[in-house]
Amino acid sequence: MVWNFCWSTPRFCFGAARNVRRSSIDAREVQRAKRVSPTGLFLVLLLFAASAQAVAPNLASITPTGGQRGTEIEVGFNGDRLQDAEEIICYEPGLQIVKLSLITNKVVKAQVKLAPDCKLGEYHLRVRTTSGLSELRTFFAGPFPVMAETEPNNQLTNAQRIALNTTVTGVVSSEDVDSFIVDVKKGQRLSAEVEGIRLGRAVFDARLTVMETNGAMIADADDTWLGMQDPFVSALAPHDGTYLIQIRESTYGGSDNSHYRLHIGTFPRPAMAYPAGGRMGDELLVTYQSEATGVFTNKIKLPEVPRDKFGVFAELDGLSSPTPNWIHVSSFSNVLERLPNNDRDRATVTELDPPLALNGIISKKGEEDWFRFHALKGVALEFNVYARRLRSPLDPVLEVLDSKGQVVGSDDDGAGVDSVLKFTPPETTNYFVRLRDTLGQGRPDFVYRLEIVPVKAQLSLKIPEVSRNDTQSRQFISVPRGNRFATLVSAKRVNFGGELVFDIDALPKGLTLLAERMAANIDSMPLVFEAAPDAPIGSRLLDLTATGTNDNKAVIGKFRQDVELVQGQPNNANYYSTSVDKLCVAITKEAPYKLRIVEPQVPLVQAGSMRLEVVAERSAGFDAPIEVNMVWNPPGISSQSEATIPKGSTNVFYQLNAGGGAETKAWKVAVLGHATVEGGELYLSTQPAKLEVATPFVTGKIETLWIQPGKTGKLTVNLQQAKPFEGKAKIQLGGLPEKVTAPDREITKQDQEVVFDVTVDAKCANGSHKNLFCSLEIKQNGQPIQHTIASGGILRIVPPKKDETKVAVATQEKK
Amino acid sequence: MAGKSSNVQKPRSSERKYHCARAMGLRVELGSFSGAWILVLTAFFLLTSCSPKETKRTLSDFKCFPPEIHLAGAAGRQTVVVQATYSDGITRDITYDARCRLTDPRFAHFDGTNVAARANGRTDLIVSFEGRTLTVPVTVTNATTVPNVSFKLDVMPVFMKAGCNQGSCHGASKGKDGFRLSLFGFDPDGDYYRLTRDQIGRRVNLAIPEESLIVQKGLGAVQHTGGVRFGTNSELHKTLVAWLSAGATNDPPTIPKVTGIEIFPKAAVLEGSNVLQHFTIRGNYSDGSQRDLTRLAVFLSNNDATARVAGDGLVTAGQRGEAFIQARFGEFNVGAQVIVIPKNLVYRWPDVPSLNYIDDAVYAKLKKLRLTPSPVCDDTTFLRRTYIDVAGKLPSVDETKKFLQDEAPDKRGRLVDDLLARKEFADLWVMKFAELLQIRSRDNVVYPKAALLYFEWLRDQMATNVPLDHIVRDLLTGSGSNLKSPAANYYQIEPDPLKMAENTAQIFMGMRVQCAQCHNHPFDRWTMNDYYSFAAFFAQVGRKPGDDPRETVVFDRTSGEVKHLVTGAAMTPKFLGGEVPEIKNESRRAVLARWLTSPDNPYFARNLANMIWTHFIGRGIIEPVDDVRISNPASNPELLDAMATRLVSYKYDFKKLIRDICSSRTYQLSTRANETNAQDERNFSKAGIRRLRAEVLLDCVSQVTDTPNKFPGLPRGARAVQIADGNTANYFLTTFGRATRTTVCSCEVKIDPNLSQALHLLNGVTIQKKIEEGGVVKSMIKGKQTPGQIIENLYLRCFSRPPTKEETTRLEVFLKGCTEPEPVLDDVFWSLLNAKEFVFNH
Repeated sequence: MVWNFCWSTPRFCFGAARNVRRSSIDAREVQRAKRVSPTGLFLVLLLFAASAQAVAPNLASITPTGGQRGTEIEVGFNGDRLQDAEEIICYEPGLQIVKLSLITNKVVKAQVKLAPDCKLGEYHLRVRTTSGLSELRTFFAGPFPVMAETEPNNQLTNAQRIALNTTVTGVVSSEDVDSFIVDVKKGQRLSAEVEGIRLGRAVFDARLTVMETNGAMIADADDTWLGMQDPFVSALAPHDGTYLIQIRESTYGGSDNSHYRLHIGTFPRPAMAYPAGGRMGDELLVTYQSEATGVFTNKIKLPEVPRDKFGVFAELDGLSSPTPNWIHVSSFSNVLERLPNNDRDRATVTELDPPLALNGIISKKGEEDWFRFHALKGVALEFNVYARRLRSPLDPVLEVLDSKGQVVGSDDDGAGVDSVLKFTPPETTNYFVRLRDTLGQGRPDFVYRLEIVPVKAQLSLKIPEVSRNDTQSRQFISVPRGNRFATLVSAKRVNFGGELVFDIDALPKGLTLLAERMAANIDSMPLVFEAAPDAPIGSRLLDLTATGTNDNKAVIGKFRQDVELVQGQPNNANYYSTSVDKLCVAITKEAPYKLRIVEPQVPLVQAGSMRLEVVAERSAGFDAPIEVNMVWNPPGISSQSEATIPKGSTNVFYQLNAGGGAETKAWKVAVLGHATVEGGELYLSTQPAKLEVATPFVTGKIETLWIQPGKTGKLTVNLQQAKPFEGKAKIQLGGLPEKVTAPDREITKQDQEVVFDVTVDAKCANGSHKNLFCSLEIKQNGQPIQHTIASGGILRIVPPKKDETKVAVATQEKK
Repeated sequence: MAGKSSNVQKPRSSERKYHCARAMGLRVELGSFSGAWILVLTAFFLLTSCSPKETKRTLSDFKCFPPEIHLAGAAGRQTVVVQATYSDGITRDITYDARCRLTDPRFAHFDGTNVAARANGRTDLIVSFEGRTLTVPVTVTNATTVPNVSFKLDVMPVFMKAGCNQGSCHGASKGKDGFRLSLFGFDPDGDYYRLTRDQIGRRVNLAIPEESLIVQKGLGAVQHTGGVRFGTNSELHKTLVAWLSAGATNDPPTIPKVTGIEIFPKAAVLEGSNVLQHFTIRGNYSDGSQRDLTRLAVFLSNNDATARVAGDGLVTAGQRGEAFIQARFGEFNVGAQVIVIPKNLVYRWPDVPSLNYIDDAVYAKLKKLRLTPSPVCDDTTFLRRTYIDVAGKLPSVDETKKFLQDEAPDKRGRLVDDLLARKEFADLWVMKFAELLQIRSRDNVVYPKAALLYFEWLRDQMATNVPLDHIVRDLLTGSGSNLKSPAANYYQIEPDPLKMAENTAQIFMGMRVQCAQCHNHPFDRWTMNDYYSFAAFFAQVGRKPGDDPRETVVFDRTSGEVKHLVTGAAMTPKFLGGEVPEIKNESRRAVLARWLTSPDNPYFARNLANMIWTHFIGRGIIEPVDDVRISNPASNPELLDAMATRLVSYKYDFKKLIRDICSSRTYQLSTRANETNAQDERNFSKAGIRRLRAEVLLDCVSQVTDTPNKFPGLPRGARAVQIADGNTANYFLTTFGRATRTTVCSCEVKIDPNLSQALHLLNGVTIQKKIEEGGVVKSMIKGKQTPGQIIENLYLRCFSRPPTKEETTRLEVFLKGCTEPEPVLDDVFWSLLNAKEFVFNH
C-alpha cells in the first residue's frame, strides 16, 4: 500500500477519487487492501492503539522546516490532539506524503517526498484528523542539501565546516551565535541567505556576517529589502581561502523558536528582478539586479493567470536562488522605460492606451522617471505602483500631470508604501506620470511597475477573524457527519454594488452548502455546510466564489485567506504573513451533539424582541455545556453575546432584539455552538432558520403625567393599531422609577388607548422620568410577539404642595 | 561584615580589613571619601604671604566709554565712564579723576558723568589723565524735538526696572493680586491691553493721571504687596505719568525697535575692597539711533560678595574673586567680567613653561587673578589619569612598569598618542555621545534594535574617525528608515519639533533655550521669536511607519509650520542668534545642519571644545557645559576661543584637540594646591579630583580583579562603556550615577558620592564577589610570588604605582608569621579597591 497523495488537482482528491488518492488513513480501507505493507500494518495497529480521538487538532510546528527537492525526508508535525491524524493536506503540488508513522497526540511523523521538479519556496500544510483540521503551517523546498547545525559553534574555533551550496537548519537560542566556515576560490561568488522570519515561527530578526578568518569583514547584513528581517549577502571572494559565516539575532536575543534555514553557496542572489512583471502566459526576459556580483538575465515563462506576487527564482551557472524574487503578472502588456526619461521633454512615450504597465528603475539619487501615455476623456483610470509590495527598496511618489505639466493627481503611500490613485481624464489627450523616491534616493534595484488600468469592478471574499489577533481559528470548514457547521463570509465590493451569489465547486459527496444570496446592502452573511450521515470522512481544497453583476458583466470574487504567522511588538503587529486561495473543507467523524433552531412561527417586530429557542440533541453520555451564539445578525438586529445550554440540558432561549429601523425582511440565520469534546473545542451550527423581521402590530404614545408622591394617577397611552391581532394582548408599563407601580393591562385590536393606574409611594423622590415605555405581548400561532412601544414617555413626580393647582388641572384635563 | 552571604564569601575579619586600610593610610569609614580629598582644599587664601614690598605699576592704557556718543532728541544724554588700565593688569574707574571737557559747549553739556544734548551739531569730548588725552566724538541730532512718550520704548522699561514684571510679581503666569504682566515684558501688546482695556477704568485714569492705580501702586500710595517701587521724583514715575497724560496710547507699528544693547566697560580688574567701578549701557535702535539705558537697565551680579552692583550700574568691589555683572533691558542681556584682588598683594608669576596655546590662555587668566599653578604631577599620577581619561581603563601592571622605566622626555606625549589610537578611546566617546543622543530603548517608541543600531552607527563613526561636524550633519539630516539609516533615530527618540529644537541647541550649542518657549529667556538673549523661529527648522520632519512594525521612516515634508505661542504666527526658520536663511527646495534640516557645523558658527566648535575640555579637566570653561548663556560666562573665554579655533582648523578631528589638552602643562598639573590656588575651582590652576564615572569604575574593578562582565545583549567580557541600550539594567551602574539617557542634560551623569555607593563598595556584592571570582591573589600565590611581590602587584594594578615604603612596612605587620597569606592579601586587595585613590581620578 502506498500512502501518497495527489496534489496536482486538489478538487479531484476527495471521495470519488479514493482509488487514486490515499489521503485518508481509514482503518476500514486498510483492512480491505489486498496488499498491506508492514509499515502500513504497523500504522494501522498504531491507529487502533490510539483509540482516543480528539477534535480541534493543533499544529504548532513542522520540523525540519524544509527539505531539498528530489529527496525524501522524515518530517515531524508537532502539536496537540493529533492522535487520530489521517492526512497531511498540502495546498500546492510537489510534495508527496509517502507514509505517516509514529502518531501520538503530540506528533505525527511523515515521510515526505519532494518531487525533483517541485517548485522552490513555501508550501502550505495542514493536518487532518478524523475529527478536525489543524492550523495552517509552512514548509520549504530548497535546491540544496540540508544539514543541521551542531552546537557548540559560537566562534571561529568551533565553527562548522560545510560544503558550498548547502542549507543549514538551526536555532539561534538566547544570545547564541552560529558559525560556519566554507572554502571559496578568489572571484567565486559567495552567497549566504537566511530564511528566518519567513519560516513563520517567531519574530526572529537575524543578522548575518561574512568574514575572513583573520576577522576582515566581507559583508554584514541585518535587514534586507527582499527578505525583510531576513538578511542575505552575496559577494565575490577577494581571494582563495576559508570564510566564516555567522548568524545571530540582531540584538543578541534569540529563543528556542528562532529557527533558520541558512543557505550558503555560490548561488545567485539578486536583490530585484526587472521588469517587475509581465503579461500572463508570456515568456519574460528578466534582468536580475545584484549589486555585488553583477547583472544577468533569465527567461521566465509567466503563469497563465494574473498573479499579485509571483515568485521567480534566479538561475545562473546551473544554480538557483533558494528564495524567490517577486514580480506582478497582469493581463496586459509591458512598457519599459527608455533612457533618458528624467524630464517631461524626454518622457518615455507609450503608444498603448490603458491598460498598460510601465516599468522602470530609479537608479540614481534624485532621479525622476517620466512617461507619456494617451487617455480617453471620462474613462476613470486607476494608477497602481508596485514597488515595495514586490520588495523593491523604492518608496515611490507618483504624480499624474496633464499635457501642460500641471499636476492633476499625486500619491505617496496610498497602498502601504506604494502609491495608488484614481484619475478621470477631463479630455482625450496625452498625460504624463512622474515617479520618484520619497527620500530622493535611487539605486539599480529601485525597480517599479506602474499599472494604469481603467477602473473596474472587483470582488473578494474572506472569512473574518473570529478572535482578536488570530487569523487561523475557524478559517476552514470542518463538518462532522450528519451535522452542520457555519462560517461567516464577508465580501468586499470595489467599484460596484448589488446582490452576490455564492458558489463552491465540487463539494465532497454528502456535503451541502446552504447559502442564500447576499443582499446588496450587506457585506457579510453566514454559509451553512451540512454533511450527510453517510458522507465519507476526508478533505478537499476548494474554490469558494461569489458572483455579482456590474454593467451586465459578471464580477467574480474568490476566497482568500491571509494568515499572520508571526506577530510581535507592538500590539501583536504582523511581521510575516502568507496566504492561500483555497477553502479547506473536511468531513469528520460524527459529533456527540447536534444543534437546531426551533424556527419561530412569528415575526420579530421592529423595536421588539424574541427569545429564539436553540435545541441540542445530545448523544448518550455527552452532557457538557454548549455555548451558543449567532453567526451573524441581520441589519438592525442585535443578539446577546452568548448563551449556554447547561450541562445535561437540551435547550436554551437566546435573546434577539430588533431596532426600530431594522429592515423588514425574511432572513436566514444560524446559531453556532461549541463544546469541549475530547479536549478540543468542537464547533457546530444549527440549520439556517427563517427569521422574519416585520413592522409592529401596534404603536403608541404615552401622555405625560404629573403626580405627587403618595398619590395615584391615570397614565394614558394612545395606541395606533397597524395590523389586527387576535385575542387579548398583555401590555405592561416599563421604565418606572422605584416606588412607583402600575398594574398590567390588556388590549384588543379595537383599543385606541390604554390607561394605567399609577401609584406613587409617599416616599418617592421628586423628579422627571423620561424613559417610560410599554411592553406588549401579542400571541400568534401560540408564540409571543414581543413589542416595545411608546418609548420616551414622561412621568413627572412633583412636590406635594408646589404647583398643586397645575397638577390638579393636568389631572382634570386628562380626565 | 554586615550583609555578607556566608555561602559565597569566605569568613573574614572586618577588623583586620579595617586595620589593613588604616595601615595604608586609607579612610574607609562610611561616606568618608566624599569629602576627604577636598579637605586639603579648605585652606584660605594667604593674601599677605608674599613680601609686603610693593611693585611699581605704570599706566598702560585708558579708555572712555562709550567710544563715541550720539545724542538724539531734546532729552538725549549719555553716561560716560573712563577706565584706566595699569601695567599689572589692574583697572581703575577714573571717571571723576580724569579731566573732561567739550570742545564746543554749544552743542552739548557735560556735568561730570553725563553728556547732554543742547543743539544739533558735532563736538568732541576731550578726556585727559596723567598726561594722556583721548577724544570722544559727540553728535547731537533733533535737539529741539521732544518725542512722545512711547509705551514700548519708555513705559515697558519702567515695569522691568521697577521689577513689576518679574516672575515673583506680576510677571507670574497667573499674575499677582489680579494683575498680570508678561514676564520681563515679552508681550508688550498684551501688557498694553491688560493695562488699558482689562477692567477698564481701574488701572489707568486719564483724567487725573497721577491718580492712576498703576502709578499709586508703584509709589506705594495705596496698599501694594510689592511695596514702594519708585518715588515721585523718580524718572520712572515721571515717565509713567507723562505717558498717561498723553492719553496712554499704544505705539504705531513703525516705532523703532531695540536691536541690541552694549555694556561698558567689558571687564574690570579691581584692587582692594570698596573700590568703585561705573558701568554704562547703550542701546541701539532699528532706526540707527542710540540711547543711554544706564538708568533703565536692570543690573545683576552673580557674586555679590566680590562685586555688588547698584541699580545705576555702580559696582563696589568686595572680597577677592570673580564676578559677572549682567545688565538686562527688554529682551536683551549683556555682561561684563569683574575681578577683585586684594590691595597691595605682592605676587610673582613663577615663570613656569607654557607647553602650548592652552597653557598660554590659562596662564594669562591666572596672572590676572594672581594665582600660581600647582606643580606638574608625577609619572604614576599622569599615567593613571591619562589612561582613565583617554581610554576609560587602568594601565596594566606591565604597561605601568614599562612607562615608569621609560626615561625618554617625550614619553607622556607618546602615551597619549598610543591611547588615542586604541579602540577603548572610541568606546568612551561613543558612550558620551550616546548619553547626549539618549540612545535608549523605550516601550513601543524606540525598540532595542533601533537603540542598538543607533549605537553601532555612532560607534562606527567614532571608530573610523569621522569628523564630529560630519557626524552632527548626518544626525540632523538623518532620513529614511531608523533601522536602515540609524542616524534617523535622532528624530525617533524625540518626535516633538519644539523638543527637537531644544535638544539640538543644548547638545550641539550648549544652550538651554527651553525658557523661551513660554517667555523671553530671563538670563539670556533668547526671545520667544528666537525659540519658535529656531524650532521651525524641525517643523517639516515627517514620519511614517516602515515595513517592520518597529520601524519609522523619517523624511522631509513640504508643509508644516511652528506657530508662535502668543501671536499664533507661523514662524520663518531663523538661526539661533543668526539670520533668516533663504530656503528654496531644500530640507530645512539640511540648511540648519550646514549653518550649525559651519566654521563661522559661534557656538558649535566652542561647545564641542568645552565638552572635550570638561571630560579631561573635570570642569568646563563654561560650567555646566550645556548652560551657555550670557549670565553664565566662560571662566576663560580666550582659552575656549583658542580651542574652538583649533578644533575648526583640525577639521573637527577631536583627537588632535585631545592631544593638545593632554600635552598641555595645565592637564598635567598636580592636584595638590599651593597657597594661592587652594580655593580656585574655575581657572585650572591645579588638577581636579574626580570620582570615576559609573561605567569606568565598574570596568576598572573588573579589570583589576580579572573578572569579565556580562551585560544583556553583549558578549561576555564586554565593558560597561560599551552598553548600547541605556535601558540595560545594572545595579552598580545605577548606584554610581550613570546617565539614564532620558534627557540631553549634562547633569544626567552623576559623580557625586553618596552613602549607597559607599555601602555598596563596602558590603555589596560587586567588590567582594569579583575578588573571589577573579582569584587574582590565589593565582599569584600559585605562581610562587612572595607576599611582598603580590602587594606590589596589587598596588600597581589598582593605583598604577608601587606601594610606598611606609605602606609596605605597615602591611608586613599583618603578614608576619602568617602561614596562609591569601586571606590577608585578599583583604589588602579589598582595601585598595575601597580606597579613595582607586575610586577617584586624581
